[in-house]
Amino acid sequence: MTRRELLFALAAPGPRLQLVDVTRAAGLNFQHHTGAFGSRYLPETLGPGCAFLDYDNDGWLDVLLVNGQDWPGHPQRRATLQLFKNNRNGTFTDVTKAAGLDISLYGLGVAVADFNNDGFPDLYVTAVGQNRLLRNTGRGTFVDVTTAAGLGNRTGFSTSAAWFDYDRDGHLDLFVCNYVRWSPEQDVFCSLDGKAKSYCTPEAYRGATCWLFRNRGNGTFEDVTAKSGLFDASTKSLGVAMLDYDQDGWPDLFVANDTQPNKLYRNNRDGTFREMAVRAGVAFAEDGRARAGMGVDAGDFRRTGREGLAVTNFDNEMIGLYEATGTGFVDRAAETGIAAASRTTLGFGCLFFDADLDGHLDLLAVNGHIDDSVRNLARGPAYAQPPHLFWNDGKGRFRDISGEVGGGFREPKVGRGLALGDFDRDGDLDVLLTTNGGPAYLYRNDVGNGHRSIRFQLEGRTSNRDAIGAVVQVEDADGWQMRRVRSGSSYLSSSMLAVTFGVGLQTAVKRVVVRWPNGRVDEFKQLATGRTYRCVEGQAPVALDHR
Amino acid sequence: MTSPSARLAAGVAVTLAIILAYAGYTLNSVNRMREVQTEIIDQNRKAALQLIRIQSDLNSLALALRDMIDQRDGYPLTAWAPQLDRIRENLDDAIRVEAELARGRRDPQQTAYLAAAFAQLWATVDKMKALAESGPAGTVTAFIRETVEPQQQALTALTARLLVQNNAEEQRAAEQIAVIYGEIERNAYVFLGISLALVLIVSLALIRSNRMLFERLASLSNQRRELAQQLIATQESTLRTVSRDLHDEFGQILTAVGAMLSRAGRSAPEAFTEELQETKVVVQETLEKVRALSQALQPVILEEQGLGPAVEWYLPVFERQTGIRVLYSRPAKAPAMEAGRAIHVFRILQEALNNVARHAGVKEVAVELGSEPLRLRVADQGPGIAAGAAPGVGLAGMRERAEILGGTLRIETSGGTTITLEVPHG
Repeated sequence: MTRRELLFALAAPGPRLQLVDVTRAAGLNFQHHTGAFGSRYLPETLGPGCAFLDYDNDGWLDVLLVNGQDWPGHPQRRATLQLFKNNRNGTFTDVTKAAGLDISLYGLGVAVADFNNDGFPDLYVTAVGQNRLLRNTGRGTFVDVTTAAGLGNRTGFSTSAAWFDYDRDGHLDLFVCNYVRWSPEQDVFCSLDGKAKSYCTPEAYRGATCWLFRNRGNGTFEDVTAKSGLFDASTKSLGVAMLDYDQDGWPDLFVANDTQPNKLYRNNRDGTFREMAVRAGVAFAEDGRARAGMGVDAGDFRRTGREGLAVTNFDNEMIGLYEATGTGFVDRAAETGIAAASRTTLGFGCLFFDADLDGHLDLLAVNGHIDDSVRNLARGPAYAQPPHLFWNDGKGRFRDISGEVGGGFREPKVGRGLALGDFDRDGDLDVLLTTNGGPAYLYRNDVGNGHRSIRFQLEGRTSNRDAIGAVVQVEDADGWQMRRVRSGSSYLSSSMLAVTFGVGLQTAVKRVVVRWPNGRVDEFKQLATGRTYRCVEGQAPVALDHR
Repeated sequence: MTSPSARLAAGVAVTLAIILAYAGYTLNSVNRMREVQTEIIDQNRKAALQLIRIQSDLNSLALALRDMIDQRDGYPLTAWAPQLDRIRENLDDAIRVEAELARGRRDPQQTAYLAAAFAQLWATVDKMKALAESGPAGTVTAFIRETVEPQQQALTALTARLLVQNNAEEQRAAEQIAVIYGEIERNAYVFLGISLALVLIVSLALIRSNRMLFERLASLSNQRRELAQQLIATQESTLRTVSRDLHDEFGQILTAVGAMLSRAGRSAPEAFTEELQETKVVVQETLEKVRALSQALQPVILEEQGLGPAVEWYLPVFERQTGIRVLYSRPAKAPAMEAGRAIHVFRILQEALNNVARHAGVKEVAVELGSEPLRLRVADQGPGIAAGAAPGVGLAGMRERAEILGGTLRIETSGGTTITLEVPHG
C-alpha cells in the first residue's frame, strides 16, 4: 500500500462497531454434545442451531440453544435443549427445566413462531428421528404437541425449518428441510486419508424430500408436501429462506441443497409451487456444478427493493451472493469481493443485517469444516475457521471486517448456527452463534459512530399474528430500504422477528410502508428514529424506547 | 566493376524472406492445429459433458423409480410427478444440446433412434403417471418394474454406448492430431532443411562474389604499385643519367674550356687578357653549378660514401637554400644500405624537407637518422596537415618508396608534423 493509498484508507469512512464477547458474563453455559464416540456418524457434524426469542413476552430477548444426545448404546452424558431467560441486565438464567424444555433428542435446528396466534412464540425443533412441536403455554412453559398436531410418527434427518403462511390464510404453515436418508445401520465408511474413517459427504446417501405442513388453524397440521408439488426425494436440504422473488405478494422459498441443485419454489397462489431455480440462475454455480449449499438468507443488499440471496457453500466453492434482476438472479460474489474472501472457508449460518446501522445490509457468515481430520491433510483447509463479517460499502463492494471488530470475534471456530437479535435493547443487532461440539457465543454489538436505527415489531390481526412474510419499507434521505419479517434463513436457527433499519445519523424517516402478509398496506409518515414501533395491523404505530 | 551493396542487400532480403516464410508456415500450422483441436476435441468434450448429464438424469430417474417402488416416504405415487417433470425438462435440454453438438458427426439414423427411444420413455412415464392417478399402487409399481425401468435401463445403456462412441471419436481425433503433428514436424524439418540450404547457397555466392572482388582489388593495387615503382625507377635512372652526363660530359667540356682559356690567356694580347680572365671565371662558375646540379639530381656522394654522409652533405645545402635551421641528430653508427635503396631514403628526406619549407612556415626542423633498424624522422612544429586536405603526389611518392624498401611510413600531425620512416632490414 502506498502512502497515498494509506491516507485515503484512513480518511475513508469505515464501519465503527465492536462485537464484544459477553458469553461468559451473560452466563450462557452451553456445550454442544454431538454424541460422537468414534464412529463418525454424519449427523454429528451438522448441529447445533440457536434462537433469539422472547418466550415470556417481557420485551427482552431470551436464548434457546439446541443440543444433540448420546447415540444408542454409547452413553456419555445427558444433554438437553437449553433455554436462557434474559435478566434484563446483560445476564441470563438457565430456565430449561422450569420451562419444561429439558428434553433430550438428537436436535439440530429450531424454528420459532406463534403458530397458534396466541401471542406467545412456539418452537419447532428439528432432529435426527422425530422432530418436536413445542407449544408455549403463555405461562413460561412449553408442552410437546407433536402428536396432537399431527406431526408425530414421522422420522427423518431434519435440518432447518421455517414458518410461513404460504396460502395467506392467517395461520403459519411449516416448511421443514430434510437432509439425507441416514440411520446408524445405513452408515457408510468414508475416508479422507484412505485409512481412518472420516465424515462422509452427502453424495454417499440418498436424498430426502422436504416437508410442507399446512396449518389448519385448529392446532393441527396437514402434510401437503405432495399436494403442493414440493415433494422431491432427490434433495439434500440444509437451509431455507422465504422471499418473494417475483414480487407478487405471495411467499416463495429458496432451499439450499448440499451437493444437489438448489431449489427456488415459486408460489403459484393456489396452494402449489413451481420449481424455478435453473431458470432463475440459482440452482448451480457459474460452472454448472451443484455446490454444497448450507445456509441461506435473503435481503435487499443493493437497496433496489428486490431481495437478493446469500448462500454459504463448501470450501473452494465460495459464498454465492445473488442479486435479483427482476426475472432471476446473478451471482455477484466475484465483483463484490465476497468470492475471493470466502474461497477457503466452509460456511454455515449466514445472515444479512445492518451491522453498523449505516443503511446498507452487511453480511455475516460463520464458518467451520465438517471433519476435524482435515487437520491431518497437508495444505488442507482448517477445521476451525474465522467467521466473515462483510461490510457493505454501499457502492457494490463488501469488505471482510471480522478482524476489526475486536472481542476475539475473528478467532477460528467450528461455526454452525447463527441468529441475530437485540438482547440488550440498544437498537443494534447482537450476534448469537453456535459451534459444533463446542460452546455457543454471544457477541454484544456496540455501534460507536452515533448511528441510529428504527425498528418495527409487527402484529397481524387477520394476517398471522407474527406478521411473518410482511414487508416493511422505509424511505429516508438516501431512498428506500426494505426488510421482511422472516422465519427460517441462516442455518438451523431463528432470529428476532422485529425488523431493524439502520439510518446513519438521521433522526427521522420520511415514510414507512407496511405490506401485511394478507395484502393490506399501512403507511406512516415522519417517524423519529432511535425507537422501536409496535405496529398492529390496521392501527397507528406505538413508539417504544429501544430500552 | 559494380558495387557489392546491391548483392549484399539482395542476400539479406533472401535470408529475411526465408525466415518470414518459415515463421509464416509455423504459425499457420499452429493455427491449423488449434482449429482442429477446437473443432473436434472441444466439441467432443462438450458432447461428452452433455452425455454425462443425460446419464446423471437417467440415474436420477432410476432413483426416483426405485423410490416409487419402495414407497418408503408414505407419499402417494402421484407426488413424484413434479420431480419426474423436472428430470424430463433437464433431460430434454441435455438431449437438445447434445444433438446440436453431435450434428454432422453422428449418423442421422442413430440420432432419430435416440429421439424415438426418449419419446417412447416419456410416453411410458406419462402412462405411468396416469396409472398412478387412477390405478392401485401395486399395478403402478408392477408397471414401473416391467415397463418403465427396462426402458430407462436401455436408455442408460444407449447413453453409455454413445459415451464410448464419443470416446472413440475423441481417440480418433487424437490420432488425427498426432498425424497432423507428425506431418507438421516432417514439413518443418523439410522446410528447415530447404531454408538452411538456401541461406547456405546465398551466403556462399556472396562469399565467392566478395572474394572475386577482393582479388580484383588486390591485383589492381599490385599493378598500380608496380607502375609507381617502375615510374620511380625510371625517374631515378633518368636522374642518374642526366647527373652523370652533366658531371662527366659538361664537366669535361667546361674543364677543357677552362684549360683552353688559360692557354689562350698566356698567348693572347694584353687587351684580351682581362676578358679572357672573366670568361674563365664564368666557365669556372658554370662548371661548379653543373657539378652542384649533378650532385643535387643524383648525389654521387651517396654512391661513393653512403647515406650518412649524403644526408650530412644535403642538410647544409637545404639550410642555405631555405634559411631553415636543421637540428640534425646523427646515428651512432653509419647506416649500411646499398645506394640503390638508400636513394629512396634520401628522396623521402628531400621530399619531407621540401614540404616543411613549402607548408610548415617554421624556422627549425628536426631530422633524426637512426640505424639498425634504419629510422628517419623529420619533425617540425608547424600547423600540421589540415584535416580533409587532399594528399599530394609527394606523400604518395614517399609511401611508394617506403613500400619499395619494405618499410613503413608514419605521418603524425598532432602539434606539428612528424614523418617517420622505418625500414626493418636495411
